Amino acid sequence: MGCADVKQLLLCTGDVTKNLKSGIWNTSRSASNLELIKALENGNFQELKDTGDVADSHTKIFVAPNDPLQNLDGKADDYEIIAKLFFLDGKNINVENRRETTDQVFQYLNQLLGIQEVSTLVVSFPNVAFSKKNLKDTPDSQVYSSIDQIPKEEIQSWIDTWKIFEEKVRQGKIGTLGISEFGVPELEQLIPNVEISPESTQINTGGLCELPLDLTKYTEQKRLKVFLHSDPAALIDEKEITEAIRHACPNFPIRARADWVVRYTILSRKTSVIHRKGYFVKGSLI
Amino acid sequence: MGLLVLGTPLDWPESEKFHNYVRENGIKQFLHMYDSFISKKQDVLLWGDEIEYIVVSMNDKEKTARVSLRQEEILKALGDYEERFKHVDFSPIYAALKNTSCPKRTNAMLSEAAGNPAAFVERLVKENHTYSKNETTPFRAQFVVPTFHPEYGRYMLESTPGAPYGSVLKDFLFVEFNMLLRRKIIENYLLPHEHPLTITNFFRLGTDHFTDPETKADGSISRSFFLPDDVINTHVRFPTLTANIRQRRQRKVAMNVPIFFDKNTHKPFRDPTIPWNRDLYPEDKNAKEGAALENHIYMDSMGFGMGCCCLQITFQAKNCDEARLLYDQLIPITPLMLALSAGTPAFRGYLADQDCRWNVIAGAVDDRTKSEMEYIPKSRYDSVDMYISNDPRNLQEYNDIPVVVNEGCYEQLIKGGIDERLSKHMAHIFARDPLVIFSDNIQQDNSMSNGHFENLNSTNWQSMRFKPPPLNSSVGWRVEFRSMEIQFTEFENAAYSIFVVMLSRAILSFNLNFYMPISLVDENMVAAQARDAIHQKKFWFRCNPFPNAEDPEERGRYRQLSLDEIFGGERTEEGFPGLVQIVRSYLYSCNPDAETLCSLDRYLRLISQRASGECMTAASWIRKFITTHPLYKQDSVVSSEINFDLVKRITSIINGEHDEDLFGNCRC
Repeated sequence: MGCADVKQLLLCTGDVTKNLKSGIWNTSRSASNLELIKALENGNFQELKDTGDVADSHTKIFVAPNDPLQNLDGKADDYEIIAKLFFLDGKNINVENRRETTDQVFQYLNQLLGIQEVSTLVVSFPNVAFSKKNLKDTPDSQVYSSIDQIPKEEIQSWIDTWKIFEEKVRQGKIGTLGISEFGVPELEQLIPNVEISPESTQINTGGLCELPLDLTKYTEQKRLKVFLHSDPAALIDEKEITEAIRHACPNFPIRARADWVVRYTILSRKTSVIHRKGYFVKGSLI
Repeated sequence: MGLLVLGTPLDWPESEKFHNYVRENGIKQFLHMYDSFISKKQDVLLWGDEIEYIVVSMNDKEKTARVSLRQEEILKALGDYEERFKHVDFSPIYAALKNTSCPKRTNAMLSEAAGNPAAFVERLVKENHTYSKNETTPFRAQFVVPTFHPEYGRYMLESTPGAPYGSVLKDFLFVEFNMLLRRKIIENYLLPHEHPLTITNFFRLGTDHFTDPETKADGSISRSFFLPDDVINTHVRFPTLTANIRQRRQRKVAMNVPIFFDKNTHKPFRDPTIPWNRDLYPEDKNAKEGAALENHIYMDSMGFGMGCCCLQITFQAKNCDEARLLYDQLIPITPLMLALSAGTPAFRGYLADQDCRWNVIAGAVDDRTKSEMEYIPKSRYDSVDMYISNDPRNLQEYNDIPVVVNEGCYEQLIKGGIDERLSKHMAHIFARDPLVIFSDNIQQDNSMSNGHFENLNSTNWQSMRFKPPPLNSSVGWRVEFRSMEIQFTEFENAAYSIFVVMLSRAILSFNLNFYMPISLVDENMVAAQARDAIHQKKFWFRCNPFPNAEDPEERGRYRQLSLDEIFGGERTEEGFPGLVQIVRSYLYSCNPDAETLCSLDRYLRLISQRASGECMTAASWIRKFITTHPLYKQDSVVSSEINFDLVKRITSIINGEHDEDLFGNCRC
């Protein structure tokens, strides 16, 4: 199988909505990545041989079988495509790598799903959480407990990364941009320094519907929408990605780290039925 | 309640000659519709609700609450309102309502909109340029004037949104406002002592002095001991239906609901209010010949059933196959929503030992003769008898109860190219006789009219109804969810309706499989009507409705769960996650904005808390009100004074008063 000379892998869960053994029902209200983890655990991954010009030769792509990676039926306009890109490079942020990542993401979306543009792209930067309570420090992730703790370089990396997405917006590949887990202090750092403002901030309030007053005031002023989600601060940790890769490629003895994850949701605008939803997980062997 | 054609109805003996004619031509009309519309794809979710009201008339001095029989006048006024404001673009009103969170202000706006929506829109648009009105508006609920319809009872009204609600989650935010506006409009045309209540039944229907104006129960149409003919809507269809059912079955209808035995209730219970020896009509002797059972509350007229209010929702599917699939998948849900919405613990002034109206309506229009009772298992109003989808997951073994069909119609359908399952369904619907035939409506052009088809389809009242596209319209294949009892407030009615619609989206998004034998669904229907079913009963449920559950081991996997477990989940590692959690997963996956999510979450919380018992169902609440009333004598009697206080309290709750038992912290 040639797993030995591979440095990077892409795991594609396929559609998690029609294959609910992936545990969507366990998505709790507060913060859960079970949908992703179960999809990876239960996935019957097969290597995609014909990668065409999708990826470089160092990346092996694994897809879930029986998941026809066909194109959308009907007009593209009929569907709302929401993509959330989780950068997991918290320990080693490099904007050039992020540029490459973004290009790859769009290549994969096109090649594997027939998606050429997304309605909304939500960007998730590592180490940031809106709700500062219940932060648990794991060996993998470190979530800053306040804006003052964040190094200037990292804040600058938000702005520099954002430019990558602004380009994509101008190219017509992204409709609107959203930012994940940014509260007022974070938004105040981002918005004045970018050309295309995010349309929304998407936060995890642990299921609570009471939004803090300062956030409502700020978002009203800046005409920002607020969206809620139930993702945890760190979507997938080293242990989980290592397990997942071992599951796909059982001969791997080594550890892996997760570089990024993209979640795509394709929703019919006319019937509000979820057409497909899935994840691409990019891992590197350590 | 079905079509109101003008004309002269045939009397029963005359109409019998045309039964086969109507059936044959009804099938021809169906075949024509099917061929015309089978390839019809309406790729948009559209849906709507129907809410029914009982107009009560209060006398504060005498402390009495009665039903008001002024339906005709009220409907005329409502019709004038519709006509007068049919060109108004209502959307600025809804936009303004959405922007307000103060209940007083909301109420004031609704009153203004109900009074004169045209003037209100003008004012809104002038004062705030973010509100704009359109010259041409889409045919959607938030743009048009609501509509009002007659119902069986002359004390009843029905309202619908006027146009369908739309397909995106944001559209669900208009539903509650739309319902509130409809009630406000009705209130405008009532007298000061009248109120429109959304209660399933009037607790003292059929007792002494229950109508305003006073009436006497001696009419020849229903021949009831208790219900005057004056409570029947005057449109000729309704009395004809009543009389024809009675004539066909050759005796009065007879519904017997077990009485609730309280400390001082007479045992055995022989109802002193039954005029056993009345001799006005030949049917009067039905009661003493066994129709009236001991220890039961006896009801002998269609009005006790069709005079009940309920909550019905209809939604459009993408195409015929999807409609058939949704029809099937929602069948097992019908008893669950019935139990959750229970609101009928009292009949004819007595507390019953059940909480729902379903079996009473079933009996109220049961046209089966004594001999037919032997081989036709159900009334024409009752739960669905068979699944109809061609989805491979619809296994033969699920259709495990006898289904009576009209063989001639079945052959006609098969010859017409309809598949076996749908043919059987239609032939089952057409096994019944047409109950009302209008002499001037017998001749119809089958390629342009569907009157004969509707004659039968609309007089089979089942827990789900499958509705082919109407002629001359862009509307597609639809399904109607019919089991729910109506709730006191718009908040609750919106919650229950939206929950079912969202569940249908989750079913399609996640390809859920709720199939289980129809016999078990029927068992659930019985359990659903029990007193305090939430706590006392368990319901058959397919515990793994997720795909990949087709291996033989899974096929027999139905267990009995409580409603709390079904809605809230089994709370174990591999257990069923709960319908509410499934809907919530669906909701989060749609990437909703905070406002939409939080609004819809209030509804999900209510559903969860009703299922867990944290919030009382309307039935439990009514029962508690009655049994803890200072004047209650623990004899199961709902006296006039108790009735008055109960109606008064419900009216204040509708007007915004909080009730912890009913709503907990949900109705914020």
